[in-house]
Amino acid sequence: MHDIKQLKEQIQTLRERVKQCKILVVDDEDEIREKTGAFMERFFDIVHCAEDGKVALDMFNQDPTFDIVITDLQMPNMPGEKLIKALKIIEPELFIVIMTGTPPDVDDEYTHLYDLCLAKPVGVDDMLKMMEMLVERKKL
Amino acid sequence: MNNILHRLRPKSFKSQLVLGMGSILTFLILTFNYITVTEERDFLHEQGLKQAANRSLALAAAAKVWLLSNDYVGLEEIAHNFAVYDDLEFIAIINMDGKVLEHTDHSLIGQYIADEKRIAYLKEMRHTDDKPTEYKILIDNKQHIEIMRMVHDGKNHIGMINLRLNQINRQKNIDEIIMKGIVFTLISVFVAILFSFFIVNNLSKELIALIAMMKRVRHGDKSVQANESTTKEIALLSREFNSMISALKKSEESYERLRERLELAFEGTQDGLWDWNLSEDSVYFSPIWKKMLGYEDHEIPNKFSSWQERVHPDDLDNAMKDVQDHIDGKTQMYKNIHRLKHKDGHWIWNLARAKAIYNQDRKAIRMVGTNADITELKRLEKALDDQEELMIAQSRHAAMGEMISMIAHQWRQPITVITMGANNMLVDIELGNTSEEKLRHEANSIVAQAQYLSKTIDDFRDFFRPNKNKEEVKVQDVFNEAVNIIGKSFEHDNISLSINGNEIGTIKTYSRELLQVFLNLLKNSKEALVEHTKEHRYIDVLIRSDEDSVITTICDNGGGIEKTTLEKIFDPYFSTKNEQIGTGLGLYMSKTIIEKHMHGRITVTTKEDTTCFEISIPKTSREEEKKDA
Repeated sequence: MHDIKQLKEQIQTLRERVKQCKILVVDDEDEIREKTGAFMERFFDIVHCAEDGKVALDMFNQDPTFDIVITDLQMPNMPGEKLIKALKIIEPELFIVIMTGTPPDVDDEYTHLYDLCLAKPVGVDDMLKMMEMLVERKKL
Repeated sequence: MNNILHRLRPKSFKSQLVLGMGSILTFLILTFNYITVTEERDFLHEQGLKQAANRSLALAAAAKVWLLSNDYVGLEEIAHNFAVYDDLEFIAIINMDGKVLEHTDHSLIGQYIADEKRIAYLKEMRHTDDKPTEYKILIDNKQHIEIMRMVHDGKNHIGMINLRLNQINRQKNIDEIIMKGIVFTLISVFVAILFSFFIVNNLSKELIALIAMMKRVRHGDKSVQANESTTKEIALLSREFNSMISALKKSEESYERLRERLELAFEGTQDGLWDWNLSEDSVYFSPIWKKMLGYEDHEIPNKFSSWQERVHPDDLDNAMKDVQDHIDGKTQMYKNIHRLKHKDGHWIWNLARAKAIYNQDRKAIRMVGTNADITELKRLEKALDDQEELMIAQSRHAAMGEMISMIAHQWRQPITVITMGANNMLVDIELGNTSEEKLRHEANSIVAQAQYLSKTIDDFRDFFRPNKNKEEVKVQDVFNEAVNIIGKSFEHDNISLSINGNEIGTIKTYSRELLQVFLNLLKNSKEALVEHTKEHRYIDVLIRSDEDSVITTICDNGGGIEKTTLEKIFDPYFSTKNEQIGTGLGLYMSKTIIEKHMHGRITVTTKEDTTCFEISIPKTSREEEKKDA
C-alpha cells in the first residue's frame, strides 16, 4: 500500500505539473465520461468531453491544442481505432491514452498509434502513472 | 333309414359295379329261364289235354258201333286195345243210365256210377243231344288228367267214355326242364358275375392305379404320371390328373419359393412369429420367438399365458390394453413395445405388431403378429439420449462461457464508474478538498451502480436456474430478457434492434430454454453482422401468433448463409466460426430445445444478405392435448 504521505505529495506534485495541459475525454458511456472528466478536472484546468469519436474529431479539428486525448475503443459512430488514426495524422506528437474494457492485442496494427493502454476499471495508481508519463513526455 | 342304406350301400366302386351288373344279368337270365320253362310246361300240359281229348274221341268213335249193338265183347276189345298205352290209368264205357258197361278194372263192370260230378254231367248231357262232340275235363292236375266224353250216334248221346291218363312222365319232363333251367341259370349267373367282374376289374384297375398314384402324390411324390388308357373317360381322367399334378407342382414350387422367402425374411430379421387362435385360446409361437427368450421349441407351451406371464409387470397393463383395443376394432393394428423375460432372467425389449382377423359378426377370431427384439435399439436409444444429455451439458457450458464474457462486459461500465468515483474521493481526500456534499454524491452513485451490478447478476443467474417445470410466460417477456442480457453489446456494434408484434397471451413452456434459444440466435446475428456488414446493421424481430402457435421471426442483414452451410446448419458440432468462438452446438441445441422439448419448429431461410430464423411454439403442449383427448 501507498504511504499516505507519499501519495499526497505525489498527487500535489503531479497536479502542479499537468495543470496547464488541455485534455479531451472520449467515452460513449455518460457516467464513465462524467466521472472520468470529474477526475481529470481535479488535475487539469481545461477538460473537454466527447461522447463518440466523431464528436471528438470535430472538437480536435476546431481546436488542435489538446495535449492529451483519453479515449474508449468501442463506440458508436466512430470507434476509438478510427479516431486515434485520424488524430495521429493531424497531430503526430499527441499523447494518446486508450481506456477500454477489452484491451487490444500487443501486436495489433494500431499499437504504435497510442502511448498507453488502460484497462477498465482504472484505479488511481494507473491514472497517476499516466500523468507521470505525460509529464516525462512533455518535459514539464 | 338313410343310415341303414348308407351302411348297406357297397363301399367300393368295384363291388357296386359287380353287384349291379351281376344282379341285372341274373335278373335277365332268371326271367328268360322262367318264361322258357313256363312255356314248355304249358305246352306239355296242353299236349296232355290234347292227348286225352284225342284218345277219348277215338275211343268214342270206336265204341259207338258196339254201343249201338250192345255188344260188350266189342267194347272189351276196344278197351283192351287202348290199354296198351302205359300212361292209361283206366277206361270206362258207361251208358246213359250210368251203368259201367266196360272198365279196364273188370270188377267194376256192371256197377253204376256213384260219383256226383259224373252223375251231374251225365244228367246234363241227356238233354243236350245237339252237342255231338261234347266232353269235360274232370281232373287236371300234376298226377292225372281225366276226361269224360259223350258218345253220339248222330242223333242222341248213347253213352259216355271216361278216361284217365297218368301224368307222371309228363311231370318228369317238366321237372327235368325246370332242373335244366335252374342249372343253366346258375351257370349263366356265375358266368355273368364273372364277366362283369372282369369288365369291372378292367375298368377299376386303372382307377385303382390312379388312386395309388394320388396316394403317392399325397405322400409327396410328384414324379408320378398317369398312363394313357383305352377307356375314353379314364383317359380323360388320366389327362386331367396329369395336368393337375403339373399344376400342383407349379403351385408347390411357388409356395416353396414363398415359404423360403418368408423363412429367410424371418431368419434374417430374427423376428418371432405368433398366431393366436382366440376361440381356442391357443397360440402358436415360432421357434425363433422362443429362441428370442432363450427357450427351446418344446419348453414353452402354446398358450396365451406363456406370453402374458413373461411380460414385464410395468408393461403388462399397457400391452393388454393395446391388444384389447385391437380386438375391439378400435385400432387398425396392434403395436406395442414391451419387455419380455428371458430364460436367464434379464429383460428383452421387443416391438410387437399384429393384425386380427374378424368373423362376419366383427368378432376377432385370430390374431397373427411378430415380435422384434429391439433391445439393442433401446440400448442405442439410451446411448443417444445420454449423448444428447452430454451435448446439452456441453452447450450449457458453452453458453455459460458466453454468459461470463457477457457479464464481464455488462459489469465493466458500473465497475469503471465506481472505481472512478472512488478515485475522485481519494484524490479529494489527498488534496483536502472533501465536502459532505461531494461524498454523499459519490456514495449514492456507488450504491446505484452496485444495485445495477446486483440486478445484472440476477438476470444471469436466472438463465442458469434449472428449468424443470413449464411456466406460464409471454414470449415477448422472454425475448426482452434476452435483449437485456445481450442488447448492450448491440449498441457498441452499431446494431439497431427493432421488436414488433401484437399483444399475445401467455403460453406454458420452458422459459429458460427458450431464453437460451433467443440468446443464441441474437448472438449469432450479432457475430454475423459484425463480421460481414459494415453499415446499417439491423436485427428485425416479429413476434406474432396464429391459431395454435406463437411465431417469432428473427431477421438480420448479416450477409446471408451459403447453401452448403444451410444444409448442415442444425447439425451438431458444425460451425463456420473458428474453434475458439464457436462450439457448433448452438443451433443444434436450439433445434433440440424447440422441436424435442417444446414440440415446435425452427426453420431458417436466407435471401441475399438477409437471414431469417423462424421459431414456432405450440400454444398447447402435447401432454395437454393428450390429456384433453
